[in-house]
Parts: sequence; structure tokens; C-alpha cells
Amino acid sequence: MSTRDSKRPPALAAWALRRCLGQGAAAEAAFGDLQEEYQARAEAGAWKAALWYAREAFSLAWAFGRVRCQAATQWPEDRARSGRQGDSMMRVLWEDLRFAAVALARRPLFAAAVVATLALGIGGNVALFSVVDGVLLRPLPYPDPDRLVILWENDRLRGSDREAASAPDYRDFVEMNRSFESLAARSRLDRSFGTLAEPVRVSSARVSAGYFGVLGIKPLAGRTFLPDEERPGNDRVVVVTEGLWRERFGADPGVVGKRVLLDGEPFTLVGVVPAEARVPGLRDQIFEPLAFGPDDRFRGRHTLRVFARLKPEASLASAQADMNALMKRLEETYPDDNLGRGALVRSLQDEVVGDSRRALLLLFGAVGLLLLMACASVANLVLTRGVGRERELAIRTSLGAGPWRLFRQLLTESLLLACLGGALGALVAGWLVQLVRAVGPELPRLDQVAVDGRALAFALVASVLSALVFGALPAVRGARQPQAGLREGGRTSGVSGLRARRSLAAFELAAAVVLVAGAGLLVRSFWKLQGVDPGFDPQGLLIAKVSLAGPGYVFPKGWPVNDWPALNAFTESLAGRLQANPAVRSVAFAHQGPTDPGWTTRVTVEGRPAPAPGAQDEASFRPVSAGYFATLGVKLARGREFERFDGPGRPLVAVVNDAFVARHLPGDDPLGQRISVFGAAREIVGVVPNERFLGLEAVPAPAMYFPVAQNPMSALTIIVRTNRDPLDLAAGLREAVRGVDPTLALFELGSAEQALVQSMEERRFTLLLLGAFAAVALVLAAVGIYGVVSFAVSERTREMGLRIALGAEPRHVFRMVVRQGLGLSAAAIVTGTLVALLLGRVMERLLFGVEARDPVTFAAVVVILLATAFVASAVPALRATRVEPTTALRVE
Amino acid sequence: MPTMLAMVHSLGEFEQLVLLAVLRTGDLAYGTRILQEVQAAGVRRASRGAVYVTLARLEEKGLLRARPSEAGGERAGRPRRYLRVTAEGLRALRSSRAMLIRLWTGLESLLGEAEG
Repeated sequence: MSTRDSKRPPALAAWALRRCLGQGAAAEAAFGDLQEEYQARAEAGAWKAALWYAREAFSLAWAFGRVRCQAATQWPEDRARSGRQGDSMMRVLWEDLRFAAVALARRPLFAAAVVATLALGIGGNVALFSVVDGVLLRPLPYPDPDRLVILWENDRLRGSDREAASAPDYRDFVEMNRSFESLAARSRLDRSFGTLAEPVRVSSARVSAGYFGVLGIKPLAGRTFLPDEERPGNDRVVVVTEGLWRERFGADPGVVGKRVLLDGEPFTLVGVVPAEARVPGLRDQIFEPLAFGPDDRFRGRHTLRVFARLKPEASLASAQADMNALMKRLEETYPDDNLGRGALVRSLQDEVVGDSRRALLLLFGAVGLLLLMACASVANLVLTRGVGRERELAIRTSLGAGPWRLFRQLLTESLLLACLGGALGALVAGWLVQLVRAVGPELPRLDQVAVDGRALAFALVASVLSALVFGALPAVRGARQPQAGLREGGRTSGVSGLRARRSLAAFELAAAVVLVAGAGLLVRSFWKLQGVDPGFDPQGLLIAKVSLAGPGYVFPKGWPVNDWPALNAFTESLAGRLQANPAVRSVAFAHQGPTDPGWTTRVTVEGRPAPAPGAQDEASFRPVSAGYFATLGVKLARGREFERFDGPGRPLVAVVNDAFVARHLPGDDPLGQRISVFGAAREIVGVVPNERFLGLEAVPAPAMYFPVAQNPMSALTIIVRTNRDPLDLAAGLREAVRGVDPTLALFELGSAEQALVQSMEERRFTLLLLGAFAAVALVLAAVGIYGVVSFAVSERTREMGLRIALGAEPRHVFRMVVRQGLGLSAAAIVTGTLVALLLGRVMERLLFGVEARDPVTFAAVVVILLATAFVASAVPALRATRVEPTTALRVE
Repeated sequence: MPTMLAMVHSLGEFEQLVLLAVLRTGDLAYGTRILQEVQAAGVRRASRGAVYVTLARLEEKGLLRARPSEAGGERAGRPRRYLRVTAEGLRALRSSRAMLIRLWTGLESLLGEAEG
């Protein structure tokens, strides 16, 4: 240890001392004095000297620090009087800010209440902004995304919208259009992918060779498809997406050129494409070339989704006009198939965002209203605090502060509070977004939602706006009438203070009415929806899909096919294995399950006049196995269900639903009638109630059921009824399928109840969020009313005491106070109800089975809010009845 | 026109103490010495911080005036500040003394008893 070192004072203490002393000759000298004496003491003993130094340094730092703090909290005009004038704008702002910080630190509870309220309000808004931004606003991840469109067909005779295109139509689009730079078609199928031992189920898209070019996707490895590969026979090539490539091949670039198995057949893997190749909302994991087969010559077979890229000079409107003209020509050329058919050109962005827009915008509006309410309650808090500060403001005015100066100071405090609230709100938003991503519905692009720079910018804007909203009123009031503060010991707030606070509370209550009414309508819709009979008994049903494809399942040539032994062998064998399990009550098969919309086909009733061409009717085409209705718990209204003998070579039969009878055979006995589908006549042998296969919200559509043995399909749904939890049987079902054929993979395995719940997922999410907002709104409104009433009570303590002293009954006092609170609330509730009724139209499309002006809901909302207002007024009213006359008289 | 009386600063007890200590220390009064003088006068618990802050305040009020001196190596380059009581400081001390004496006058016997 060198002597030099021993004479140096403890570094930390010296550093802290320098920080606290600040600058100036006196501070320098104090530091020097300490240093000098330390040198002398260090000669005697380094340790003792160091301790001494630390103690003395602390004493100095403490004393000087306190002086500097007092200077910081000194009122600016006081300082101005002591001779420091001519401050720059920035310096004044900095002083205001510092003063605001100290003023807030002195009232930590107030600051915490304000910051917490704002953090919730701003946090909720930032979170929803992130979701809205990520899902609705952000452009798609393709070059020039606004030029990408999707082409739908529609049918004005049947009033249908957004139908797929047929292959001949698509070819005509490509050749005849004048608006598109490029077009591509896509259809989807399920494939089992990988090795024989462990196939995985993947969603495959068959796309025309130009598909990746339309989107502007470049392969990560290898190549995409060549035009030549659109020819049948050349199409045994496959492109995989990045996700599958990483998962199955460990991102090995050497995989390009390898052979892979699709449904057990060899394909060559030619390329890997980035994740963006999967258009948001679709599930594509692999791509195959779209090679048109013999079936694709039918113009009435609508299987293709058409994507296109607009020419730079084309607009959505011009493309729509072009397509209208094109479809008109097709209609004239092919009246049999295309009568009434038109086209819809829709931007891909709109298509992806789809139906989420309405719900998201509604939620965004709701959370914005909530932020306004938060601002109102904060304004109320600030006003309350302003009552305590009027004296301070008055003194500052008498010291020479102008109204502008005070206004600026008060607004600075609000800004500081709002920014603190905003910063905390951004954190809250981060958690909320994670929560939404974890438990939210399947919104398109939800996986990309995050609180990013745009969201933070939004948080800043929201904070500043909030500060202006909640800070302006108290600041104007504070700056305008500070002299009032010096009267009567500075305790009065004036009548207009109460009036401002009453207006704020009334606004909160009215806003709460709007939010609670919205939530109430959604709750009613949800109840109604849950009460809808799905047309089958979902309890105890396990549903899974399987696709009979591969070398062992060659689909017979020709159309229509009425016999496919491979299908019958599979269903027989699987049913036998499953029924060996005592938990299985019955097994059935169908082309589509009871919650699957499936597809429609043309139908005519024999003996009826032939409909005009193009005006033919279509109905849902639903091949099912014997025992299907019994397994689903559907009771036949008339006739019989399919039996095992309704097989190949037997008379063709059909079962129809009530909606079918109502449309095609009203007033007739449907049994024994013959309907013609695919050119073959079938006899109706039974009638069933409507299954809600289009979803619980849709009007039931006409449906025709046929024996699957007479109308074989390679895509098959397995339906098992068990007397236990259906999910317990999932493993058993997998094993049974593996036992029949190990190359087949099950997919979309789940209970029917799950499927129904999932169909309500987005609705449930909207309801949950709006419900949460409404609950917060109720609390805010209640606190607002409570604050105003209890403030009014405290203002009138003396009067209450006098009244009680003069013999007023406590219940009279109670009634008087409550009446005051309820009077204010009634006006607010009426206003809020009127606004909610007007806004109801916004919600109409989100409702089910409930009018936007549903009287039951609105009555309930009024009762809930009146009850809230009553409780909020009753608490201070009770306190008013307990005022001791003597206390009351001593208040002044 | 302010009166003479209004211009005389009224001193707090500790301010008086510090001003007197400066006077007693003499020509070479600087922080450490003044602190020692205050402590020697019986205010053992007077902290360094309190004394220095008071010195700074008195200087700001114009009751003390400083003149810098040499900056020795053992002072890390910081000069000593020698402090001197100004004429105004002397007036303030005299006025405090006069006021105290006026108040004491006639109470000697009473306070003497109480002290005993």
C-alpha cells in the first residue's frame, strides 16, 4: 500500500460528496477543507480517517442536498423574485417539470392512483391498437401487396357470394382478362406426408405454376414449379414451406432433390419456400402443381381459389368492371353452367382480414371509450387535489405568477402523470398482447402481433392526448380563480368545482351505460346461440377425419361412382375393431361431419316442371353410412334411416332434411318421391330435422343424405359415440385405424363439443373483452359517483350536522343525499341509453337472435346502473347520517 | 424608502453562533477552523454540514464575505475560502445582541433562581 493511496479519501464517499455539493466556490472550498483535514488525520490511521471522512462527507452531502431540494421545490416566481430572471423556454420547461415531479412525489398515493388508472386505460388501448395494427392495418408481407387480389365467383340467382371458380372459368380468366399481370389458381387437399412408418397429416395446396410469382415469393432453396409440371404425369413434384422444412428436415438444404412420400406415393422435393408462401388464414404446409384432370373439364365444378396481381395501371374498380364484362360473355356462351354467375374482385388484404374487422373495430372503439372514462376519473382526482392546492396557487398568483404560468405548470404535471401512465401502460399492453395471443381466437396474423415501435408511438400520442383531456379542465380552473383560495382559510372549492365534477361523473356513467349495454347485447346473443339446437347430440361424440388415398385406395374411374370396395372394406374393418371396445356405443362414417358445411350439388325433383336453365337448385350433398343418424342422436321425423343393405347394386335411396322438404316438396308427402342428382334418380326414404352443419348462426340449408356405400368418397369422417369422455377414446381410435392400415393418418381429431365451442370462439373472445371493459367501466362510474356525492357531503357536513341537531331524522338525511346522487345518475343513464340505442346499429352484425334495441337488455342495463349509482351514493349518505352535530359545528 | 430597521437582517440562533465563531477565529477564518470554534464554544454536536450550509447562506445574505487563497496540494486543488464578517454582518450581530439584552433586562433574579 503506497503512502499516496493511504492519503486518498474513500472514493465512493468523495464521489457522492461531489455529486451532492454541486458547483460553486463554497462547495469547492468545503470539499477542499475536508480533503485537507483528511490528509492530516490519515497520518495517524488510515481506517479511522476514512470512517471520519465518510461521516463528515455524509453530513455535508445531506445538508447541501436538502438545501438544493428546497430550492427545487421553491415556487418559480419566488425564485424569480430573488433575482434570477430571463430564463429560456427550455429552462422554464425543465423547471416546471422538476417542480411537477417534486409536487407529485409529495403525494405518492394520489400519483399512484392516477398513474394506475391511466396505465390500465392506455395499456388496454395500446394492446388493442397492436392487435388492430397487426391484424387489420399492416400490409401483407408481399411486394406491392395492394395489387394482390382474390377472384371469387358469385351466383345472383341463388344469392351466393364468394364461391370458388371452375377450371374452365379460370382458364378463360387467364386468357380474356385485361386487368391482371398474372393469375394463379389453388385448391386444397389433405395429404399424409413422410415415411410409411410415421406419416404426418399435412395440408397441401395444389397451385398453378405461376402461384409463387403472383405473390412475389422466392424459394429459400431449390426452385418452385415449372409450367410443364402442370401436365398430369409431370406433377410428381412438391415444394415444402419453411416451417415443415425445419421441423421434418432440420433445415437441411440438401433435402432438395430427395424423394418424399405423399399418401404413400413417391414425389420429388424440388424446393423450399418461406413461411409467407402460406397466405395468412390458409393452412398450406406443402405445395403440389395443379394439374387439371378429366374432371376439370366441367364448368359447373367449382374448386379453385384464384389469386391475381393487378397491372400497375389497373384499379380494383376497373378490374371489377373488366371481370363483369368477362363473366357476361361466359354467361352468354355457356348458359347451362354460367347463367347468373358473376365475379367479385376483392383485395387480398380485405380477404385476409375478413370478418374480424367489425369485432376488432368495435372493441377498439370500446377501449377508446374506456380511456376517455379513465381520463374523466383522473380529471376528477386532479380536481379533488386541486381543492387542496387552491391556497398554493393563490399565493403563487400573489407572488406574481400569471394565469398562463399556472396553467402551464398544472398541465405539465398532467403531462408527467400521463407519460408515467403511458410508460406503465406499454408494459401492461405487452402482457395483454401475450394474453390475447395465448387465449384469443384464431385471428388472421395474430401470431405476428406485438407491441412494437408503432404501438409505442401510439402509446405516446394516447398519453399526451389523455393529459390534455384530463388536465385541461383542472388547469383552466386552477389558473383562472386562484384568488378564491385565500378566502375562508382556503378550504372552499366553489360551486362550479362541484358542477365540473358532477359533469365528469355523469359522463362516466353515461359511457358505462354504452359499454354495459354493448356487453349485455353480446351476452344475450351468446346465450341465444348456446341455446340453439345443433340438430344432433354433441355429448360423447368423437370425430376425426381420414383420407383414403395411396396405393391401396385407387378411386374407381368414371363418374358417378356407385361402388368402391376399398371404402367398404375399410369401414367394415374399422367399425369391427372399434365396437370391440366396451366404451364405444356406436360408430358411423360420413363424407363430412355434422359441423362441416361440405359442398352443394344440383338437384331436381322428378315429376316437377324442369326449372329454367341456370335457375336449378342446389342442396348440400352429404354421403353418410348406415347408422349415421342413430349415432348422432338425430331422430327421424319420417321414414327410415340407412341400413347396411343400402349398398352397391341396391336401389339408390336418399334422406332429406326439413329445410329440403320446405323448399322442394311443400305440402307433399316426401316419402317415395324421387330426386335426381348426378343424373341418377334416388328415392326419398326418410326425413330428418335440420342439422346445423353451416354453423349455429346460419339459417339451416336444404340437405340430402345418401348412403356413402352408394356414393363413395375418399375423404371420410369417422364418428364414434361413447358413454365416456370422448377424448379418452382418442388413443383407442388412433390404434384402431393403425390396426386397419398403418399408412393412414388421422387428423382434426376432437370432440363434437369442442368443435361447437370453437365455432363460437371469436364471439366468446369479443364477449369476454367487452365484458371486461364493461366491468371496469362500472367500477370507474361507481367511483366517480361516489367521489362526487361524498365530496358534496363533506362540503355540507355543517349543514347535515345542523339538520340533525335541529331534529332531522337520519333517514331523511340519508334520503336527501341519495336522492342527489340518483338525480345526477338518472340524467346520465338516460343520456347514455339514448347514445347506446343510436350506436346499437354498429353492433347489429355481431348479434345473434337479439335486436340491437333489445328492450330486455336495456332494461337490465338501466337496473344495473341505477343499482350501482345507488350503492355509490348510499355509502357517503350513510356517513352523512352519522355526523355528530357538535363535530359538524366545529368544522370551520 | 425603507427604514434602517428593516434593512437589518434578523439572525437565527445558529446564524449568530456561526457569525460569532467567524469573528473569534480572526483573519484566517475558513471552514474547518470555524467548525472547530463552534464546537469549542460548547456546541459539540454542530455538524459540518449545518455549519457549512449556514456559512453559505450568510454569505448569500451579504453578512460574510469570502476571499480565496492558495490551493495546496493536500487540498486536491481546491483553494481555502477565508471568510470575514461584513459591516452588515456586524450590524446584524449588534442588533441581535441589543434585542437579547433588552429582553434579559429585569429577569436576572427570576432566571437566576430557576437556574439554581
